[in-house]
Amino acid sequence: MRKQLASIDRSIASSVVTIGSDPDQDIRLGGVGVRGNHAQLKQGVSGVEIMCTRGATVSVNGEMVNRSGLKPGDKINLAQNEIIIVNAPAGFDIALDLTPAAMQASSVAGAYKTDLSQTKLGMRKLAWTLSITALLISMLIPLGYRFLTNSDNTLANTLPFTDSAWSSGPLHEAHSALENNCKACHQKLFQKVTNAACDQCHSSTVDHIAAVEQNAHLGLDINGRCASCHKEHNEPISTLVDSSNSVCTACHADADLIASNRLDTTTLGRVSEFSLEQHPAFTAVVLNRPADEPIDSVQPWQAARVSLPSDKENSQLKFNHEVHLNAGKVLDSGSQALACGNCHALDADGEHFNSINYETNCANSGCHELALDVRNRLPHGYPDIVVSAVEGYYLRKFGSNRVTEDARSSTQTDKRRRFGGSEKEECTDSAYDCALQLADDKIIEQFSVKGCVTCHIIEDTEGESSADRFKVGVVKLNEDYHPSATFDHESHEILIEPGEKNNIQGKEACLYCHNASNSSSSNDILMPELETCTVCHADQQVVGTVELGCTQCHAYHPRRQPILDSLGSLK
Amino acid sequence: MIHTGILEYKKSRYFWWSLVLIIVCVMIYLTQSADDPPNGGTWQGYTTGTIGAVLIVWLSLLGIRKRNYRSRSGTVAGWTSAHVYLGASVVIIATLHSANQLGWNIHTLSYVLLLGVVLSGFVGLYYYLTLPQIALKNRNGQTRDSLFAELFELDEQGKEIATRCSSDISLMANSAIARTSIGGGVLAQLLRSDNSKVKIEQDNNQLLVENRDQARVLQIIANRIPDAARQSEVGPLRELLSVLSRRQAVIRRIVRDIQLQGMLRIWLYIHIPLTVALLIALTMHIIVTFLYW
Repeated sequence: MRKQLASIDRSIASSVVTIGSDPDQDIRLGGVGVRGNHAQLKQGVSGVEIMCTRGATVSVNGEMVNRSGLKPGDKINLAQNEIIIVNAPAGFDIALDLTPAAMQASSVAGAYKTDLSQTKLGMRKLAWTLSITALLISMLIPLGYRFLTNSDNTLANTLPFTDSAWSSGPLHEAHSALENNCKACHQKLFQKVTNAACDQCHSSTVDHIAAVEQNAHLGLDINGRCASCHKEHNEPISTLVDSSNSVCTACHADADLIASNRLDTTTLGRVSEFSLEQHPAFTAVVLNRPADEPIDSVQPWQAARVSLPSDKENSQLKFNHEVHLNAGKVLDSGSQALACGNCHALDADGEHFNSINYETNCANSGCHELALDVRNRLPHGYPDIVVSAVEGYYLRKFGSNRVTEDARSSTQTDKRRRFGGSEKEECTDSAYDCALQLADDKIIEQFSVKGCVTCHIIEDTEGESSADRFKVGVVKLNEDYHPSATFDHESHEILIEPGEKNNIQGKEACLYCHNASNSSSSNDILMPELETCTVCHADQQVVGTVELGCTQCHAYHPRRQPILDSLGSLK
Repeated sequence: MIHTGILEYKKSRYFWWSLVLIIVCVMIYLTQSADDPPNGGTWQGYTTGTIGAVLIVWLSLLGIRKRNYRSRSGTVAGWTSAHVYLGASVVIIATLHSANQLGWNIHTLSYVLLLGVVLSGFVGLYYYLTLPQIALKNRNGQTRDSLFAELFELDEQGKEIATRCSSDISLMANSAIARTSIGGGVLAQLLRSDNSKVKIEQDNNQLLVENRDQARVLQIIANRIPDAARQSEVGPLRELLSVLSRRQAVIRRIVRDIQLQGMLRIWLYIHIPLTVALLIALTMHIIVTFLYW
């Protein structure tokens, strides 16, 4: 195809003639609105036609078109430029008469794109793209997943990600299996995670207030949401439990709550922090024999809350800590003074102590063996059998005619328990009767003078038969004075008072808190008072003290349910 | 002019405002305990989050304020100064709100978009503080329009002189003027890429060759002067060379000016779309927080 451009005698030999504002166009036109490559002239079906690039138009005979066939006489207008199609000379496909826009000084700039706003670059397009992407990622896709999985729809699996994109952080490792199961906890949209959701797994967790009967009227609204203390999505820095004091003091220091009697201050004092002034004095839970029951009753004992240190307890055991700790009076088998640990062995939990029992703690020490002689010991714990055992012992030993002087005078084998008086009359009856009489004397001595009565409370019914005469009190040693509190004995084995350089260890560490060396009665409750703790502990860490938060002693969820059940009737 | 004294506006009033705001937010942040570790869900987190969200919305309004010249609520310079300082402080406030709990989730998406917005804002600020001086120096006291007027004048002179030269020189000079490339697309404006062409006659063929920085046409004319066929041709050639050289200098200034003005605006093409996306993502972030409460 050959074309001739008329009037300035230029000829172009090309199959396509380009028109535009770019410098390399065959026909370069300036002016506002002329694109870099605005249009092309090319051979169409019915002769040469003008074809604009996408979206561009030119005026052909006054009509704005994108594409048009051309014939001589047609007038094309683009910006201020005018092209008239004239009759092509022989050998040319088309001839154009071009009149470029008359350039004025003021319109020069307009011929060029000199500002970003004239380029294809647009803020709107990018803004829309980014916004719709953000909307898809943050709302539409996760929401779609949420609803698609409601109806077993497998379409949900085709989504690029799930509603876990809404997760603000990883879950605690105990919950990590739920990482992609948001609905396990977030059961309804716009609803805070409910306790019911937690209860799906944690139904056996004991609630804080419902556990204490007299506070039951407070209701679960006071117990609050699990999530108010157990905050998820904070890993790896969280321990899943908010154990800050404010969790407790929100109620236990709330003057309004106390004033309205919704918080029972008869048993729960107001507490705002751990200090002498702001924490109630310690109380202790002791066990009492039911008042109308005899001393040897096997009915369950009742728990009662008492004040420290004034109140007493009665376990029905006579024991003198002062004597046992006095090296001048009692020594162990190695001739050493007794230590606390000789009797009180720390349990594996580091808090409680193994139960005290006669065999382990009294007899095996070699001190209180209840021996009549080397071969004969009285059975502990069975008063009726003790009577039979003593009788049997004397009958075997002296129940024949060969009653020796020795037998008649005393029971030499039990030197520590020998009679105080030596004025005893000599038995002149038959050997059998003398043996029984000796046994009777021994039984009375055991139950009323020295022996059983040393440690046990014994009631003399003054009955005829020595077998029925004495009632021995059941011993119930309290094993937990603070059943709903925890304490770590292990970490208190070495104490250093604030400002002191020397530490306190071993027996002295025990006695620092438990005033046993001055206690001559087992009715003393040897539990420390608040001021013992506040020597070293404070609510907030201050120099020289150890910070102590509520939950370090008090468990929010009661763990020892049986004991607390027994406290249910406490007032 | 707006760009002078943005940072020093009213003795850096908004710098101190921002500093106080940051200190307040840091103190709020520090009241969070270890038991409920710092995060966006504590009351402190909600507080810093609300402050941040309100700031972001308010800062976005600057764009609307700048287009509303009839507004009486403060001066544009004042708003811009506040925008810069408070905008920078939002990054710190948002970081305190997030407590550095970042991950592949939609909450971090908002944070990343915010960083993008503020980072592009810093680029813009840097341009606003540096480029106007450079542009002023480049234009040498002239305006863009007067530069173009000068160019037009030189174009006309060049064309007039070309008529007195031989036909090949005339064709070349005319095409060099007509096919001069100034500005153009985004990259052409910002990178000053020059697509100028010139048509030359070679072996009776007309060739369209590149004429970057008008170098080719100047070189050919300069080479022709010693080879001029007639002595009478030397005069117009020298005149033409002189005009086209001056023309080259003017084009350089114009192209540089286009580049500088482009840089003063290009960051907005990132800043504003990112801001719009941020507002969407932020809204979703807030809704989702309560959607899965």
